[in-house]
Amino acid sequence: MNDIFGFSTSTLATTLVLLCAICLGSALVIVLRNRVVFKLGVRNVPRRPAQTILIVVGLMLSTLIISASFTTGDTLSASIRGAVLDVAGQTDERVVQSVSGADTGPQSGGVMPQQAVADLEARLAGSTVIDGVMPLLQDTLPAIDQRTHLSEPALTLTGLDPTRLGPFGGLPDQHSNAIDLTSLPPSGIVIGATAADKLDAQVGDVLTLYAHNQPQQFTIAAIGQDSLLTGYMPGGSGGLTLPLGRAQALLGTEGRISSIEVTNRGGRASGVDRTNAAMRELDTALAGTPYRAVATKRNDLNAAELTGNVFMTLFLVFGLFSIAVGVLLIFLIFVMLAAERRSEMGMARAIGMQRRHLTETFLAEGIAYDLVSALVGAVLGVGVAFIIARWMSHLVGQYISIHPTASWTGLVIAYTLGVVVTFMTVLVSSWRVSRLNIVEAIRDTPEVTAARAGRSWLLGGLLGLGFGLLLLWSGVAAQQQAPYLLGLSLLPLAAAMVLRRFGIPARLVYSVAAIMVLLVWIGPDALTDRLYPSTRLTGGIEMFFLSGMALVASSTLLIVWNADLATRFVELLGQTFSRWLPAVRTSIAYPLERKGRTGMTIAMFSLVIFALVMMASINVNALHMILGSEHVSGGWDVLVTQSPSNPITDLRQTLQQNGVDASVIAHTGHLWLPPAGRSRVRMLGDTSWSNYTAFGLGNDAIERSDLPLQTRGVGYATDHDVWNAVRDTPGLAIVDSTTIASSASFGSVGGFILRGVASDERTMQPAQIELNDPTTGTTHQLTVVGVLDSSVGAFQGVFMSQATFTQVYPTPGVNGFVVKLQPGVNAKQEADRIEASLVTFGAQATSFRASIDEASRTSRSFLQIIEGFMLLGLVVGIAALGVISFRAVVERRQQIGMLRAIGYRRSMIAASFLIESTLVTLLGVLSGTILGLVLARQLMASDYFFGGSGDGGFIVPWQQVAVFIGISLTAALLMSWIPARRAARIPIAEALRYE
Amino acid sequence: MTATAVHEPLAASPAPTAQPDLMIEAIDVTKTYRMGEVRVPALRGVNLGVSRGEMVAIMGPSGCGKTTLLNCLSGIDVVDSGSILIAGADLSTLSDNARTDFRARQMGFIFQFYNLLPVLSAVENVELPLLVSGTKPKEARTRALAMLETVGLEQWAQHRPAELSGGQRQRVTIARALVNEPAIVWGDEPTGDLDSENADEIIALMRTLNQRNQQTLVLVTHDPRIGAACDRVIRMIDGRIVSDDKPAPIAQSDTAT
Repeated sequence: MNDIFGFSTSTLATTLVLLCAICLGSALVIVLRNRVVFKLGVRNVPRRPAQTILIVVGLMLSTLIISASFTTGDTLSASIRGAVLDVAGQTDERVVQSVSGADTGPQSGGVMPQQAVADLEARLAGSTVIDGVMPLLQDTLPAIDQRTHLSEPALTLTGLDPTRLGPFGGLPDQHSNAIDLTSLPPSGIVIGATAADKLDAQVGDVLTLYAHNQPQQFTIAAIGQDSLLTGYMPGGSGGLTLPLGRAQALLGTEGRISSIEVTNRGGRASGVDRTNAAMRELDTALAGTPYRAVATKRNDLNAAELTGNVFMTLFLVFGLFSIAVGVLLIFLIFVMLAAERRSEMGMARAIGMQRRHLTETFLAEGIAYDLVSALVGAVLGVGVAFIIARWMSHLVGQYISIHPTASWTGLVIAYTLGVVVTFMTVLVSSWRVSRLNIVEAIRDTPEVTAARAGRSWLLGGLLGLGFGLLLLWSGVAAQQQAPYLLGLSLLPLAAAMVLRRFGIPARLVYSVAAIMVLLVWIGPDALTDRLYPSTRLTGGIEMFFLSGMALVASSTLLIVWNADLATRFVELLGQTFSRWLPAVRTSIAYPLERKGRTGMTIAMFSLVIFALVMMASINVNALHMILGSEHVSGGWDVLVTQSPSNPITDLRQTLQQNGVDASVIAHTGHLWLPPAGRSRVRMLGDTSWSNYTAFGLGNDAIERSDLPLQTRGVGYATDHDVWNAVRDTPGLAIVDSTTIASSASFGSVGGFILRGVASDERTMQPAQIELNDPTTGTTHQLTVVGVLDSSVGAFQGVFMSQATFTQVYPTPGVNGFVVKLQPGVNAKQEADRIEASLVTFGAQATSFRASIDEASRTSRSFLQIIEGFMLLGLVVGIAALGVISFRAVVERRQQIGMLRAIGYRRSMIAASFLIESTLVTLLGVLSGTILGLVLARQLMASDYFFGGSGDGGFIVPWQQVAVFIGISLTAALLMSWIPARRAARIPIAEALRYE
Repeated sequence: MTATAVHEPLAASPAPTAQPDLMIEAIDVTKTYRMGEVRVPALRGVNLGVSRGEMVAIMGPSGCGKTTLLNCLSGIDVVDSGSILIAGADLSTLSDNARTDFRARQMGFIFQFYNLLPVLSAVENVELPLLVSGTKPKEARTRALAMLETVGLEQWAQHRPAELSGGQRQRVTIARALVNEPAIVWGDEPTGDLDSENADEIIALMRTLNQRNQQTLVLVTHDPRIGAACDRVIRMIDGRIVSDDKPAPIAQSDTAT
């Protein structure tokens, strides 16, 4: 991992190590300056072993989450990096045609003369960086294993020059023995491991390959390792290898190759270190030629790093909720420790200890817990990440092998961040608890709440107002949502603090301020539009966390100051069951009285549930919107694609000729796609291109498709009119909805953006774009007259008539058909049947529904990983509830004795504790659920997310919500069961004596 | 006055003679606390009888077993041997729930440190025993307010304990103890945390209520003024009753607080 939220990980690690040193240094200062204070703090650690364990567990969770996030990122980076190196082998760079847009895999077919290899080699003679060059030819072919009768429509055939394989590490078999291509029998062929697996092939099997529709038989001589040299790409079907000459003969591309592979001096991994020097030499050598060099391995490794970063960021952002909950827990723990020792602290102050000494005592104790718990958390985090890795392996194992990996940098960041976060939290909480009234503390009488706040609130409020305005200004200046909305949220809260100084009732000012903050984040669009400046603000994935924090903070404020209204309902229930009313009354009264700790516990549950519910809601609705719509595949059931070298012109007829009952097919549509990597677009007048797929649609595809538009060009009355225009008028096109610009609250899609059209607009002025084939250099101007509805999830690209398409691509890369089946026909089975019968044409057939279901499954599984990770936050919340419940038993011991004396049965005491925990948990869970659902609904309906063009209402994932609520409440009940039981069993006389 | 007058330590004192209106009866009660290896005898064969409507003070030096006796008599602590009869019923034969229900309906408690729930208002504190014993909430509220009026705190009904003075808090405690019209009221140092003026008021209030309602009051105290206001004063030393008399007049010096 090199990068986190835009900061380099090494810089972050160095900064955190320094901060950690400052924290530890301050502990050292306490030791040196006042040994007694230090001892006083540290000796509290072994005082109550059970409580110490609970504190260490609570403190370690933040570090655990950070460590798990980093290690997950490291695991994915390393796994993808490993896959890149496995595929690329010793190949570091690639030479392709200058106009080619391909920056990763080689182009298909013989696009370069083989002579270019010798020319390049001559120019590189004497290079101390480049170890070797090699011609490579690749193309796809259908193959059938005659023994197993299994077929694959598109295996990648690779032609290699055996004499140049040496510097590239040779061609190893599955046992890492070198395969000698020069001694391959005339009909011999090498098959890659994945292809062999798919065909269930073994050495000696006869394969029939179809090139230009002509069958040719080969015998498998060896099974090679999956790599570029055996035509393997992650997620692909694998391939076959022949000596270059035989491959050229088979494909009919004598004297031509696809690319020139280049290897640097050094090993598989270290060769890339010389890429800069190699690229300089290659650029010099290729100057004046129609070729250019691409740093393929470095690009792929960077992409691997980027993917790792994306996942780490994702886990970290979701982990931030749990970390925030952890911080609250730490704060709560120390506030409660202080409450427990209030009398001792009062005595200490009475005999001459200063406030600073009390803070230092807590800091010393906090650091003792901190150092141990951060270490435990960092190590356990690695364990959690390894569990996630196992889970991911199940999920994406077919594409990539996941290898659990931890890095020292990640561990150092996790440990030091854990130490620093805990230290800062302990510092703040210690400072707060040191400000006690000595007499009240010694007598342990309740703190008297003043009708109006002190001067510090006025000062804090004014500072808050200033900071809020500053944030607001910086948000507008930088066009960033985060500071703008945070500033807007801070203003009412700071104003409330100021008003408290003037004696305005707390309930009124806090409630109004909280409602204002809620309106900022989830108010009606009309209101938020007015609040936002006309300039569009941008925000990334961090907005998810910030919105959660702001919403939960304000809703918690609203709840704790108004809970008495809501709890009257509970009391009404208690009156119905009057026997339990006393238990209900005391269970409500305590949390209402302890607003601080009640609020913190509510916020903990609320934060975690908010994140879980929001994520589940967005996932369910997005999947439904994209994949669940009836328009998702334009009304088609099966997609058939094949190489145009042996094109099928009439699918129905070809199927009938191959013995397939075509009566199950209702109708078909013809479409064409460009060769891979040869389609890019830009707005007219722009300088840079974006890769974007072009679709040429036959008249039958246009007329039979059910592809609704979310935006139509002006002058067209219906979607049908727009499609007819595209069919009849050359140069007209339609694009998909991902091209529409939005400020995308949680990150933009990227790629080609069609400027001047908003997602909520029903009509548009036609827009001019250019379509380019980088290989031929052909550019064609298109007029976009419509935008596909976002419910069409199966097709993304620019759509035009066949006539328009052939202007740019006279020879398409893919010949395809979309098939509508008769009602009741199983699309998956029919796709398999079509593919099997057309294998000699190299046709691949997929069921849209099967692909959608697979995508849904993957998405759901990934969601489960994130949910599992987020449940760690719930563990923190539950731990907090445990801390509070245990503490409550100690605090209320005498009162429990009194209640028992005046007639409370044991069951009523236990019920009182259980109702209290359930009530607090329920308030948090309901608050989180409501906020999560409201924000998710608003996002799904807004043009910031999916264009707000969903065809159905908002779906509430009731099942998942019920599971989250169920887990929370059950865990809360279990956690408070032990203290409740303990409270019920307190001997009355002993409790009454307790002081 | 019908109580047995005992002037000597009653290590093996005879059981109280059967009396027709005996409300509380302790027969040869012993109680020993175990603190690790150490055994501390708190009650050493105590015999005692209190008639219905009596107001009795139990006095003695700290650690003599006064509070332990009170706890055992009221059923909030269990005895090691001997038996305690309340209105003829042996508490030790009752289950915990039955004992608890008995307390809820028949007993009221006044504590030195008030032991009010800080999170409830005065009236909510007072109505708790009524709610516990199954009184309907509306009726409980009416009776609690009436009891607060009796103790002169109707104006303070909605205030939390933290907003009341010590004397006011103790009045709330008395109101809570009496609201259920219990047969017996137990008091453990009811004036222990009050200044003399408030203490006098509380003593007068308890005596008035005792006389008006004919409730039995057993008060553990160091305060000679309480003893003087009671029908009987039982003195204890080292877990034994050493005297059981009518109260002596208060010497001036004893009233000093």
